[in-house]
Parts: sequence; structure tokens; C-alpha cells
Amino acid sequence: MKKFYYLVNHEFKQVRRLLFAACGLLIAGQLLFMGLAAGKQYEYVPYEEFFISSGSLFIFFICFAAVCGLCILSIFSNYYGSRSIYVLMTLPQDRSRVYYAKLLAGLACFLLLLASQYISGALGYTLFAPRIMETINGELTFRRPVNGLFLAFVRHPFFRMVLPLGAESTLSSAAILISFICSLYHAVICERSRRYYRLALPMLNIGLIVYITVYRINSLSGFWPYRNLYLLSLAATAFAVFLAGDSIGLIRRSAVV
Amino acid sequence: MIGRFIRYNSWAIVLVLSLGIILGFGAGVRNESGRSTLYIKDIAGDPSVLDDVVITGVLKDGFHGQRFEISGRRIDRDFIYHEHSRDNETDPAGLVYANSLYLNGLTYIYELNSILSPDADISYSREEEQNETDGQYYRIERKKGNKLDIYANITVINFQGGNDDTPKFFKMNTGIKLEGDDGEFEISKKYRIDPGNPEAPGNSHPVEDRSYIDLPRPASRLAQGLVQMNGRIYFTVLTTRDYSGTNGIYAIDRYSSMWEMAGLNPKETGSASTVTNFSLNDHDTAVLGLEAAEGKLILIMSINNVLTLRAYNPEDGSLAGELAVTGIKEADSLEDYLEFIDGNTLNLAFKDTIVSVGIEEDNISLKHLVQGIDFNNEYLDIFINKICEVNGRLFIFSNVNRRDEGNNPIQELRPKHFMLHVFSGSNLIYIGEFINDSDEDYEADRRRNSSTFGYNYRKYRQFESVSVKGR
Repeated sequence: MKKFYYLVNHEFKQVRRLLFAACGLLIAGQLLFMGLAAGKQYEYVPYEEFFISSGSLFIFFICFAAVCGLCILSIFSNYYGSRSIYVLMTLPQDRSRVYYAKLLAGLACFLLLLASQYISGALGYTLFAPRIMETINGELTFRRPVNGLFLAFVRHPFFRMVLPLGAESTLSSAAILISFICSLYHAVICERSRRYYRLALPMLNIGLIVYITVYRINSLSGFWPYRNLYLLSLAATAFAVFLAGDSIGLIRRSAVV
Repeated sequence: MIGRFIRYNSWAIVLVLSLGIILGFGAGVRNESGRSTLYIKDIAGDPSVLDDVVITGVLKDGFHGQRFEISGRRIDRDFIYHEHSRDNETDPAGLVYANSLYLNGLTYIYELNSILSPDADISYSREEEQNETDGQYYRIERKKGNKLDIYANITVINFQGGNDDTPKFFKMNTGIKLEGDDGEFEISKKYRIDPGNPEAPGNSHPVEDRSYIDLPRPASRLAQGLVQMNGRIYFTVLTTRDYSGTNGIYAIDRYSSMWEMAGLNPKETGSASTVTNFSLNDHDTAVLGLEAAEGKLILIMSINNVLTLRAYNPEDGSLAGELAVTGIKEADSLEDYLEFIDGNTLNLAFKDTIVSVGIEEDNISLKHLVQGIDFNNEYLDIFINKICEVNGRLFIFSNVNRRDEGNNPIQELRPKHFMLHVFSGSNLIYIGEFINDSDEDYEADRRRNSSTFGYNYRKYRQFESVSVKGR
């Protein structure tokens, strides 16, 4: 267990500086964008509208892509320089642990990104959220709406995806995250082992993730027929387990070397 | 030492920290739902009228809701998170349709049509003209008469789709006639013609068909005449005093399928049985609607400008009770109403009058007669949301716009107040207001001055499924 612990730490150590930079960029970038937008925002709009119109969502996607890049980098870096892939493959432990270590390190990266998004959302609300103008006893006052941050997280599809408040949605978001990470690693492992035709599998899983995401975004529009999110989450998780199993199989057969 | 610890445990620290932030933040945001404002502010009267009742309901928008229960002065709340469209379905009891009834996924669309009566004095005319604008030649065929036969059409459609036998159709000659002066009722068809080629195919296809005659109605909401009880659909025809012939209450027995109708377009299709009939020939009766309560069909009429309710047994059409509600101011202007049925109490909310009646086995009795809720002329608009009768008191919930806040030309953006008026008999004994934060939802649209073209149930929080029970 201790070896595995060190192995995860080793994997995480490779990317942590860049990860902290990406999360810092997320918070600083979003706050900068919101700060700039607040200077031009003269009328009250709900925080979720303000957040989106400030361009902060764009920063999130850049940072999300950066974290995906870090996960890919954590595998590719084993093939350059000291070519540590040979060391990893000859460690005196089950090779599947190498995969699990990478998976856990990747999960930590994405969870930190999510946590950074929450911090950024809360800070942005505290510092820059538009306020309602009121005249009380002849005096002009500005106040935040009651529950404004809560309403933003409840009403906007992006916030509903990153912070679901219902059991079905929470399970769905968790399944999407785990499934996405497994697909990402499987795609890289397929590429490294030159099993290009198998890239269809993570592609298929990404298709399922896109389908669930599109449904989640539109599920309250009234135009989409009901879909059971428990079943979809189960399907995505089952697919992720299959991809993980396939990835471990490729690693065990030394196909990645 | 600390640096070394962090270096060797960085992934675990990040994982635990991230999970802590995610879970803590999620719990905090969820907890925020209970911070919204919701309480009843006493405006006037005796607040003790709320001591022996429990008020329940939901304050919701398209994304979430707060289910509340107010028992005396104690308020309990539950957070509802909408995950699918079906979580956000509006309480069917709170929906008001103009000309249709929505039941178990099926929409029953009610229409009244007319055709020139076969025994009417009918005249025909035909003229041809050249339109100055487009230079085309047109033939207009007109048919005029002095008498109309009234037909009831009911179409059943499943708008949600599904493998059922809809759409299905019902058409019936009601036996009701509308008589007018010679040539008062006109229908016409307009054809584009080619004078040089009488055989041109376009000559026989109308480009304009004015076969619809706008019938006089006592109420604009035709759905008032359509009701369901024990799985059967009953209807009556909303008629003013201008009509003659025989009106009645009818139960639909059978609809025709689309295949039976294909290409035939019959004047009558499907079948119905008559529950009861009554004559309109005295021209003293206006039929305002039909309701169902306590196993009885209640016909709402205005006879000689007196609001009259008659209860019928649906099995044999026998009269189970009649009530003439006298003392209504402007009784001749009663037209559209909203109905609120709670057990054996039928509450009818007309524009300025609320009538609450008890339906018993062989009797109808008046419980409350309320002649308006705006005694101080404070309200610009009043939208009745729910009426309940509990412990001998009438609880009227309404959304109102105040006159002094009504300067916004866009009606739906004016500040709304959810009010509770409690009456005992005809006496107002309490006024309260549900103080809440939903007005903030309108603020951005007010600043932008942007109309949502009607009430936006997705964007703005609103009260729904409000109900009162005794403790």
C-alpha cells in the first residue's frame, strides 16, 4: 500500500506545479474577467448571467483543457528523457497499480479544478456580483439579492453541472467525471500501444458523456423526453470500468512499451 | 519538516482538500436554500384566524422550489431540486385553459361552430372583380341567412405523443339556434380565377374562406362548459339570452377515429347521451358553465340576471338542488369565472364576486358571498390563485398588483404580492401577505424593460398548489 501511495505521489508530483498554475489561472482569470465586466455593468442582472457574460466560462474551458493536457502529459513524459516507462513496467508490484496511480492522480487534478471553480464562483459573487438598486427613505442603496449565489448554482446549466444539488444529478456528474478520466487515459494508452482501432471505444464513451451532458443542460426545457439519469450514470460507469479493464490489460501485456 | 510532509503527501492533501471544499461548498449552497424569506405579514384583521389551520404550498420556479407548511406561526420548509422537466410540472389544478380540458395527458379541445340552418331564409350572391393591387381576377361567393344551427365539437389530442387512439373527434348538432335579421349571418369564399381559361384548376380552390361566424358567448372561456366526472366527459353549451331551442347537459359516449373521419368531414360524428335538457326559448337564461362536485353536475346559469346553480344527478338527470344567489352587485355582468372545488365545496371566482356553495346530497346551500376583495381600491389587478373553505371561513389566495406600484407598462413586470384574504360569510376578517423574495426575479427584466410576453413560469418564482386544512 505504501508503494502505491508513493507511486500516486510520484505521478502527481510530475504535474502539480502546472496544475496549481492552471487552478490559479482559473481563479485569477475569472476574477479579472468579472472585475472588468463589473466596471461596465450598470444595471442589475442575476449573478449567473453576469458570470457567463463576463467570459469566465471561457477561462474554465481553457483550464479544463489544460488539466486534460496534464493528464496526457503524465503518460507521455514517461516516454521521453529518462524513459521512465521501463522503470514503471519493472517495478516489483502489479502493473495495474501504475494505471490506478495515474487514474487517482488525474482524479485529484480534476477535483482541484472543480474546487477552484467553486472558490472562484464564490469570490466573484462576493466581490463583483451586480447589486439591486433601491431607494429607501429617499436614499439610494445597493444590496445583493437574497440567496443570489444559491440561485445561480440552481438556475444555470453550467453551475448545475459542476455543483448538482440533487441525488440523481450528483451521481450523474460523478459518473461523467470518472468516465471522462477513464476515456482520456484509455485513449492515450491505445495511442501508446498503437491500437488505434480501439480509440473507437473512448470515442463512444465520450459520445455517451456528451449525450448525458446535453440532456442535463436541456432536461428542464420541457422539450426533451425524460431520461433516467441513474441508468445513464450506470451505463457511463460500466463503460468506464470496461475501459479501465482494457487499459490495465494493455499495460499488463506491455503493449504500451 | 512541514515542507517534506507536503512534498510526500501532496496528492493526498490535494485530494482531501478538494473533496472537503466540494462537499463543504455543496452543503453550504444547499443550506442557503433555507435562508430565503417566507412568512405571513399581518396587514389587517385578527391573525388568530390562522391558529387552527395549516397552510401548505410550493414557491417555485423552473429549477427549484420551496415546499412550505405554515401551522399557526411556525413555518417548515423543504428544498425541491428539479432534475427533469417532469419535476417541474405545474399542478394541473392550478392551470387555466381557455378552450380545453387537460386530463391524464390528453387535451380535450372544445369548440362551438355554426352553420346556416336548413330552415333559414338563405340568399346567394356571386361577383367577380379585379384586384387593383395584384391585377388578379377574383370570384367571391356569398351565402347569407337569418338563422344558425349551433354545433359542439370536441377533439381529443395527445400532444405528448404516444401509441393511443388519438386524435379522436366528436361533433353534435346541439339543437340550439341563433336567429338574426335577414342576411345577418354571412359566409363567403373567394377564388382566384383566370378569365381566359375557365377550366384552370385554380378556379375552384378558394384562396379565402370565411365560413366562421363569431358567436355571442356569455364567457370567453369555453372550457367552463366542459367537465370530467367519474371518467366521463360532460359538456353544456355556453349560451347568451340571444339563443333559442334546447340546451342541455350531455355525456359523450363515443368518439370517432381519424380513419372514420377521413375525407368525409361529417356534420355529426361520435355519440352522446343527454343527461338533461332545458329550453332557451324564453330568452331569460344565459348558461355560464358546468362543474362537477360531490358526484353532481352543477350547471351555472344566469336566469333573469340572477346567478342560479342547479345540481343534477348524472345517472338519471334528476334535479338534486337549486340555488339562486341574490344580492350580487352587477349580476348582469357575470361572465368568466375560475372554479375551485374542495370536497363538497364549490367556489366560483367571478371578476368581482366570489361565491362559495356547499353541495349536499339533495341540496345546494350558499356558504359565502364575497363582493370583491379590494375594499380600499388598492389593487390594480387581482389574480385569484386558490380558494379554500375551512372551519367555516373562506381563505382566498391571490396575486395582486398594487395601484401605487403599477406604473410599469409591462403588466408581468409589476411588483406582485401574494395575498391572503379570509372571510366569514361576507365579512372580511383578516388580510395577510406572504412576504418572499420572488420579486427579485423580475428586477433584471424591469431594468432592461424586457417583456417575457406573458408570465414566465421558468424564470420567476410563484406560489403553487396552495391549500388550507384544519389542524
